Amino acid sequence: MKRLSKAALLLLFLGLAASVYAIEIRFAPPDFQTDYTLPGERIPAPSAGFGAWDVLILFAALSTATWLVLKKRSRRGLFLLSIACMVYFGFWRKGCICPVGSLQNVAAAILIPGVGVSAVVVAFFVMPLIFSLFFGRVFCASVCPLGAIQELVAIRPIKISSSIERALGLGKYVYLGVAILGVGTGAGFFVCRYDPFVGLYRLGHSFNMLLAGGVILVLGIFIARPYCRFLCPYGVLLGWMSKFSKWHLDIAPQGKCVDCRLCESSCPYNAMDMPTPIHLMEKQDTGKKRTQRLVLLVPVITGIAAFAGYLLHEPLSRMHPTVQLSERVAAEDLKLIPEQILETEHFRAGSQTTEQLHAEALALRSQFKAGGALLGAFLGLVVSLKLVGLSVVRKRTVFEPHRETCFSCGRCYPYCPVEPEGTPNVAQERV
Amino acid sequence: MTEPINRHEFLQSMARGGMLLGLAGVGAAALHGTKDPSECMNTGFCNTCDVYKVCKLPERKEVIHGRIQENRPA
Repeated sequence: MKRLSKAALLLLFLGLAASVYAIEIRFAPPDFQTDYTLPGERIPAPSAGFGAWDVLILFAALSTATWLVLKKRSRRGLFLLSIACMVYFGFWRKGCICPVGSLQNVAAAILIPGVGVSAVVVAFFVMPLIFSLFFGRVFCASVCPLGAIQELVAIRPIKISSSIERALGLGKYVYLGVAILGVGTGAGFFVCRYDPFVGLYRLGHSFNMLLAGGVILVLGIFIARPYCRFLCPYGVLLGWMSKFSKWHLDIAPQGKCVDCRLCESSCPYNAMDMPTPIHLMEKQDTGKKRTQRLVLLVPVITGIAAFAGYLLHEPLSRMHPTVQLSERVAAEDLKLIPEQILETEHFRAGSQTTEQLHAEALALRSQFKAGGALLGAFLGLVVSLKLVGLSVVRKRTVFEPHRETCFSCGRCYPYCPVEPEGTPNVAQERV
Repeated sequence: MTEPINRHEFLQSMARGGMLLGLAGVGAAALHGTKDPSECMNTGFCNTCDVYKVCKLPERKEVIHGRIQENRPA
């Protein structure tokens, strides 16, 4: 019966993906420069008062998720809440407004003079982070529509080794850095442009993005939540907050862990830290010396990475449309490319001269010099701090969820034979 | 009488306080200053936006750039 329902769910999503392909936006309306306005609207404009309601609903969803994670300890409740949030924030609100994307709006408001952001967007950005700071990643557990859709398709999750997990996990830091660089230099909102699931929620997108969404969902059947684990830039911030959370999902809250390892095998995210093996418990001095050496290496690695980022400013600057256009125009002028494209035709029909365009591109390239160096420094700092973190052996006597990477999804709850007093019999609950 | 907290808990609460302050700072910095009249709510649908024509935000550039690319002849 359970297998049947899972297969039905999978078929539903595949059907949905197929229907989305059928309505792919192939011919986008042109950007009219005259007074002409497009007749009719495919999607009704959101009402002005919706933002405040969205904030209230987000707050209610986060509070419910917190209650389900910490008090009720219910995987089934979290699963149902994630479906509700996927329907509302995903299909009803079309994946917007989304805390993951709001990261860019907030960055734009801070980095670009004169660009504004509404209080609603700031609330969407800040609220899940505050909840994460106090209760762990309850937003990821069941409120985020991007996480919810992946959680639903994670039917046969397999474990990947922790070293691969760590290596791939660096992807989200790269994405965060590139996204901020893109916003700061005006190259674009990459997190929104390359959001793999928004096409499903809006029932229409470019073929490539729909394909990317479909591939991630199919991959997500076996490797649970690939986007959240390896790409989500907002997840980086949530992880940092959750690391210092006051309360967090706890698998054996009263220290009655029986070392059955059921929680560890039930977690597909490698987010369960095992008790420290005796052979890893080394002399304090050895560990301290190694950590000290690595700490001394932090500025060296950061500096090298910053220099590498500086050297990469030219390829990085090509993500900016003005730089792309400048290079294309130059290549056409030098007869290296025989044909004009729509962008260059549009540019040549306008009032801007080639010199002005090249000067603008040159100014952008120098922005990318600083931006590339900062991006490199950020990534170098992350890698070196991760190395320091790996060298520190923490003494643990029981299985504990890793606060930074645990999504608080509650998958481990039904498997734990130790139940705290006053909680429902979660062992009978299998979702 | 309250129990004394250990060093780990103390450092964690300090970090939490710092992060909370940081978040407040980021929020205030984002809301502060001269802003464009077309404050985008990130609805993601520029073609249904009332202030799309006068919008100077990067989202609009994004849409225009995307359209140019999509209209590019094969």
